Amino acid sequence: MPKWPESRQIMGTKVARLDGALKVSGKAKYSYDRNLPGLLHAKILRSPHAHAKIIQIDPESVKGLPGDKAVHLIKDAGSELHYAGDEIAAVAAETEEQARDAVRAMKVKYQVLPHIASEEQALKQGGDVVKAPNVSQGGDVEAAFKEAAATIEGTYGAAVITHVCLETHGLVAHWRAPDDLVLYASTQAVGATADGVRGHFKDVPNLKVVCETPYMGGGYGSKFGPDIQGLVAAELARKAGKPVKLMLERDEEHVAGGNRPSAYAKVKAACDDQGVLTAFQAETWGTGGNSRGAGFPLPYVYAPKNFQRKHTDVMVNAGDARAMRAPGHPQGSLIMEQVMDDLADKLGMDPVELRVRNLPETNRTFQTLKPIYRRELHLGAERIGWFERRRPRGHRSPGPIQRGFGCALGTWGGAAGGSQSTCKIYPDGRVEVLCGTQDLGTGTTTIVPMVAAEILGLEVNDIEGRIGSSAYPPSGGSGGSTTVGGVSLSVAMASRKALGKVFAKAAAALGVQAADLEAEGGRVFVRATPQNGLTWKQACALLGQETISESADKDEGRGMSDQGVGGAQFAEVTVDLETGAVRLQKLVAVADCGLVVNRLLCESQVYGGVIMGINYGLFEERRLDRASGLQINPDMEWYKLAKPADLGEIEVHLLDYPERGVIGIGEPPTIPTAAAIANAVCNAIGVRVSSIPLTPAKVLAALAAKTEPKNGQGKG
Amino acid sequence: MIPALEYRTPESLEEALDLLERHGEEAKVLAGGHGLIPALKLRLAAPRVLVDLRRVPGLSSIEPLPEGGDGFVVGALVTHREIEVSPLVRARCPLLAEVAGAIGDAQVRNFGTLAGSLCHADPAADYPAVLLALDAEAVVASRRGERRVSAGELVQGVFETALEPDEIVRSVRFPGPHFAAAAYSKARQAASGFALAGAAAHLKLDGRRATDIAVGITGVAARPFRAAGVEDALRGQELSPEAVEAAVRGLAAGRELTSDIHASAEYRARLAEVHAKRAILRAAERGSAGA
Repeated sequence: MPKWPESRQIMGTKVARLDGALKVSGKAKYSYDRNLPGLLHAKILRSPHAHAKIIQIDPESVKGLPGDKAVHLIKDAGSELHYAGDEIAAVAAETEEQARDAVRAMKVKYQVLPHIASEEQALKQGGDVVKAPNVSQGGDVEAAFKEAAATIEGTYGAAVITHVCLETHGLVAHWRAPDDLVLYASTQAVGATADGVRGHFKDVPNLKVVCETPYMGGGYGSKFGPDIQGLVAAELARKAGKPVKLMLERDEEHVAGGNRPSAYAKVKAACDDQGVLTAFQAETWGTGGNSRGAGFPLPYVYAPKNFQRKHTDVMVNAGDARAMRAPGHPQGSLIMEQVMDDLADKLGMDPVELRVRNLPETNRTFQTLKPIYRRELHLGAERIGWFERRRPRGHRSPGPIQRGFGCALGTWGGAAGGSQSTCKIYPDGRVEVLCGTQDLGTGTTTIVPMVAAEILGLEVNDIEGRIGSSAYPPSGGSGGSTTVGGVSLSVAMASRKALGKVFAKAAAALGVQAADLEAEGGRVFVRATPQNGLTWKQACALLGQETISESADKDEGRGMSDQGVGGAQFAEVTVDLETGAVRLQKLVAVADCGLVVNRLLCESQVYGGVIMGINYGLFEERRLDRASGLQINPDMEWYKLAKPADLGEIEVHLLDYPERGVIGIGEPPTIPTAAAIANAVCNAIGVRVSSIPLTPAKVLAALAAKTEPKNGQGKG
Repeated sequence: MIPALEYRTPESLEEALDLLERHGEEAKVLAGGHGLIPALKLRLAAPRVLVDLRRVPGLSSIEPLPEGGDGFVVGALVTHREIEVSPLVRARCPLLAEVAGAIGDAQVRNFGTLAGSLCHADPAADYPAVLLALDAEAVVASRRGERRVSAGELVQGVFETALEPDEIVRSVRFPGPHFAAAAYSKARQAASGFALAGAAAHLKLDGRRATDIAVGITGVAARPFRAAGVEDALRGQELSPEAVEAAVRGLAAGRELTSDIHASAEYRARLAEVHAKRAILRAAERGSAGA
């Protein structure tokens, strides 16, 4: 089985983003920045009603308006509109303003239908909007409850949130010829985006579609295909005979760009006198919009012998959910880890100790993470000052400000995803590595040359990495934290094969066997007699007129990656009992991801994940108006994300397990953050706030609902 | 986009007042623009004529009152930032400097004006709490003459003032006397920094006893108000935390409170109590520290 080099020169070090300077100076061209000659701007007409039927639509009504160039109907008369924001039609015009005016001028007659704007409303109404429950169970919960040493019951939950990609969804579509279409799309999958549009235009024989995404501003699971706006932009561009830009506005991004489903749970759980979880019973529900489910893993991380779960998806008249950074896992962690804390409190056991006692020997999906979790819990506890500073739940200090500590675990896969790469070596020593992957902001642009340089014994800057185009060897969409694994393997193996060709030439010149050669420090030399060798340029010059071009699939690197990571986070918060305001003081994130490729980027992923988790726990909520069904905060003012000053101190620790090979890290660090914060808040105020975000008003309401502090020392 | 309008830059107050007399309801006065420009963009306001005061001389200074004492008057074009750093304001009335520094962010403070904020009458503005607690008055000019209107009288409701269409607030007058025992405490709306609730306390102290007390509240209702119940309960009393806690309880009771996406009426009521308490106690602390 192939292996990573034992002594690594580049992998594992901190290498700043190669495109960092381009990005901060504005020279990096994002989809938004593609202003081709003759460019038209398109806007989408969206349903103004949460639920309606189109009675009549007249695309002719916008013809002849200033700047109007093309109209495309997405839905016809008779179509049902399932949420406020559902796409109806699109118009391309010379300016954005003209396109907006044209969309506004479109004559549409609606029949407004009754809508549902909340999970409670759906559950109350019943019928079609409440799906048949999904039941899973094992063992005998009722028997286990009878023998339990401690039993708790609680209600926990999380609101719908949206992805809030800084770069909204969208693209520029340009037909260079009737059978040659190029898309400059903000996408997590250049290949699937090109394929999706090609599939849409079945009427064009031998249609060539290329998707170019050299830079993109965040996807988090919401940007995997051409999407409606991709197909619409291509349609409009074909009709108008000009390139068309269609980027969603911020409000469209909130309502139609996807979201993370809500998750609510009523849980009864029990443990024995040793703190071992013996029974877990949960009734859960949530909404993934008007057609998608809201499933999430539960029980999570821990594997109680006796469990019973009934989950119900409910439909509301809102935009559909899409995969969002570790789909389902933040919800699972939020609910499970609050239950674990409540059990620890009931039993009077330290929550870290209770967790250690419940770490599963076998993880249902991956190999056991028990030793890794144990390391993570102990390191995190030490770094936050858990054993010295944490007081039991409900302890009161003088004054209105109370301090609390909480922790939580998460788990994820992160296996290597499908990927192919080509490594080209030129006689002048130039090296090009091509891979049809994309950089979502995660740093793949930097990873590709790092891995090639490691294998070829060169510097990162000696490698010309080429990614972000569907014209390159196909690599999968960037989802599931699978990119770094797949790309590292295919790049390493293609580079290794290409190096083999260089070795063959050099071996002949040096009069040794290729197997005796090594490449390091910009030289190709004999392992036994390192002074006996060639510079990289000299070695490549031996190619004469020939250019090496070697391709590899990630499967050729089997064994150089793994899957299954744990992760522990610890939060320290202060809560103002008088105003309900929660301040995150410190968050310690301990993460493992096997062999770290680029420590700087890897840490950056953890910081980013934690920040999203903080927002999830404290700030974010998609809010629908009950009367109209419209989202009332589809912006970045009323849908408030944390400012740097709201974040507190974030401390990141990466555990190295190089023997496991490369594992993805994009998703796992966002999983346990909100749960750790919720536990810290509960520790601080002595009472559970039943759902996130933990807004000041909810904290106060929870405090008001409590009668007397359990462990309190009288008046706070 | 702002709908087309006529933009005028009068060179004197008389010229500005002429324009207002001529155009009446169709004209709007522009100072820092931090309330009006967003309103124009959102088409909440659609005046035909915009009268920009920036070239009008004599509106940009903070002057002591001629009659003596520690009173002063703030011209219509004086920005929040100028108030925040003014040696005169900091010496005579630190509370006003404090509230000016609590507004929005640096960019907002560099452009927005006290008089403009008052005329805009945003119910979540910070100033009204302090202006009410200090008994400040707007000096209002028109072709018909000049009059003084108390801050509490000027702000009539949400974006509603007692100004006639031909009137301009040329300055805001702080008559004094001003005491060291003063503080402003607020709950900031997370994005904009506007007050979800803000309370200003202005105390005359005799040791720990408040011989007089004024408490202004903003952000919780359509109009700012003086917490008269709190004032009555504490006037002549020792300002112990327990006494203040008891006095602020229910201070917004009986009023119609704002309820919106940022905060429910119940939560605003609670915030008003908490910040009134904090303002009073902080003011008392400052007063005794300076004594």
